[in-house]
Amino acid sequence: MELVRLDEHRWEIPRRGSMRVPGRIYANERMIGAMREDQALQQVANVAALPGIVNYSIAMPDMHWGYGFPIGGVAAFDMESGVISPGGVGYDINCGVRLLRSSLKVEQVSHRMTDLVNALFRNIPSGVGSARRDIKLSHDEVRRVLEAGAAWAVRSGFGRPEDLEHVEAGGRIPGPDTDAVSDRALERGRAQLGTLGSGNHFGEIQRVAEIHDEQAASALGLFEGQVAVTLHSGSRGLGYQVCDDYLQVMLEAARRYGIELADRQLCCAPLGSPEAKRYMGAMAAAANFAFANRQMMTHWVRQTFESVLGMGPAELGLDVVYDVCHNIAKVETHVVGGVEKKLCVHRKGATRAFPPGHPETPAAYRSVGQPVLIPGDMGRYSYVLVGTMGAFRETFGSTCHGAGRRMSRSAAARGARGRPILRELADRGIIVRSESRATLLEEIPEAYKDVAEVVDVVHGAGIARKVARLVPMGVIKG
Amino acid sequence: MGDAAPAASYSWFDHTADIGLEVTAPTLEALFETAATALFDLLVETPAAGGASGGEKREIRAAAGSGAELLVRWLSELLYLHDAEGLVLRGFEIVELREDRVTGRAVSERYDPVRHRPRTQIKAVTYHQLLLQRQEGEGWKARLVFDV
Repeated sequence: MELVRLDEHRWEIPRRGSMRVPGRIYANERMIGAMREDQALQQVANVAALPGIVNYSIAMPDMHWGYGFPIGGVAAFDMESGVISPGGVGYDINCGVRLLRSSLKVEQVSHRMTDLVNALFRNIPSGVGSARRDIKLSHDEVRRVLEAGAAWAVRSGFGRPEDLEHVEAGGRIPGPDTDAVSDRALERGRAQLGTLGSGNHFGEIQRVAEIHDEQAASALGLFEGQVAVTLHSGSRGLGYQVCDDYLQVMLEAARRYGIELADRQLCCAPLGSPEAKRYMGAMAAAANFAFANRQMMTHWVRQTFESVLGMGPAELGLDVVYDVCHNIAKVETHVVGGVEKKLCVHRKGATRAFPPGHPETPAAYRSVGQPVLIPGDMGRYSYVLVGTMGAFRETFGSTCHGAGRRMSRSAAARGARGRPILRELADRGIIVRSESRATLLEEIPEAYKDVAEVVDVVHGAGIARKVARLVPMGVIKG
Repeated sequence: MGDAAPAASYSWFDHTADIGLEVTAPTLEALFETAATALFDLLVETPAAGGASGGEKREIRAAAGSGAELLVRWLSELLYLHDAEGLVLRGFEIVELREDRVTGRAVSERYDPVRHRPRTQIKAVTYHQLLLQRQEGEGWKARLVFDV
């Protein structure tokens, strides 16, 4: 694959063959070397060949080989000539991250960390067939969740109204169409609302280890030595089912509309088509389920801290810093060739990173930019960043989403076999509880790239700005 | 199945974030059965056979536009039964296989956290680089990727 280096952090795959636009990759030299080893770059080129793609097919430094679209990919499509692709969003629709800050300092909780992690593990269901016994929803009630998103959870007693001000899109993607969501999706969602899931999903108690930008950190209410909590989860089986249902629809649609596909998983439909409209309605519904899911878990995090530490909500101050989607397609206004245009921006393993002053950046953060939450691996650290004008100009207001895997799951499991992983992490001061030993082995820290390197690239390229580094103290996994 | 036909088998291949499955089998029916067995071997660790007595027979149907996509639909159907109904299936048997639809049977039991240990939970069966082809000489081969 031909690659042209544009500057320290930017690379281009020149247009060739069926590509309609070039590929644009944000990476350092070492990362590019790793990307050449699998099929990720080819996937960037495949996306560049889809109808109506605008400017370029973008890949973030955490990009890796996905299915269809690369993970860590961003692609914007013209509303008239472009397409929408369920594969460009992924199965876990609105998989995302929520960060809670606290009023607590590390020394107030470190001696209770094991109790906190155990209680969190009990209160937030994870793993196969897990669900809270107290949550049983009818299909009609699930439809109300899909309509209202995080607000449904707040209304139902899970959290506070002000939480919604600090969630992307206010915790509700507009235009959910519950009629476009199958009974199967509702059935899977019914039992899985308020569950963490497995794989790379997690709940983490963290400490703020380092502040990179005092002014932004202060706007976000973050300070060194502070206790914070991060939740990483998505739309669970409901989202997977919506994606699966619409891949079948889009395979058919791509044939009907004569769209050539380099990979079946890229199947899509023209944005104005009935198939696209139904998918967008179903996707919005699934995204809203994910917002409600993270909102419910937020409530259980608060309850856990209250009961273990014997403190009240005012004392704990577990407020939502922000909640971002990592897998989504949204209709947004961007400037293309000097003209404002509505585009359908696909972010698959990428985060919206809107700049200071943008109307969708919450009032409290308007002077510093929209918070961007970048989880790392369970042994090292995660980052908080803010969005920039650079991202708005160059990447449709998008940046990276995480560390990105370095090792396949089986390679990680081979490397971890026989090792006392829990002990190793405990020796580093990290208490981990996991439902499945297999998950634990596959998710060992060294299976991931160093997220600091990923964040340095987006910071260096100006498509996000570093604010704070968080270090794990307690982790729950599926 | 003729005496000389090679036995069906499956193996996993690495895919950075996900898991790839490769299946070879003397017949298309055996290929569908073996892929189903592989899926449940990935999902759950079941104690040596005979742990649970019997289990119910469950019929499973799937339909799709082409043979390769039918394999994805078949496995997706099984995954749905696992995820939505909490079933662990084994002893797969294809009853009828046509170009665009398949009917199979399996022994079904409920997921039991005491007897079963969760292995790798997968989100979906993808169409990424999906391949189903007749082997040179004899038999069938399929390749597909599971989203983890």
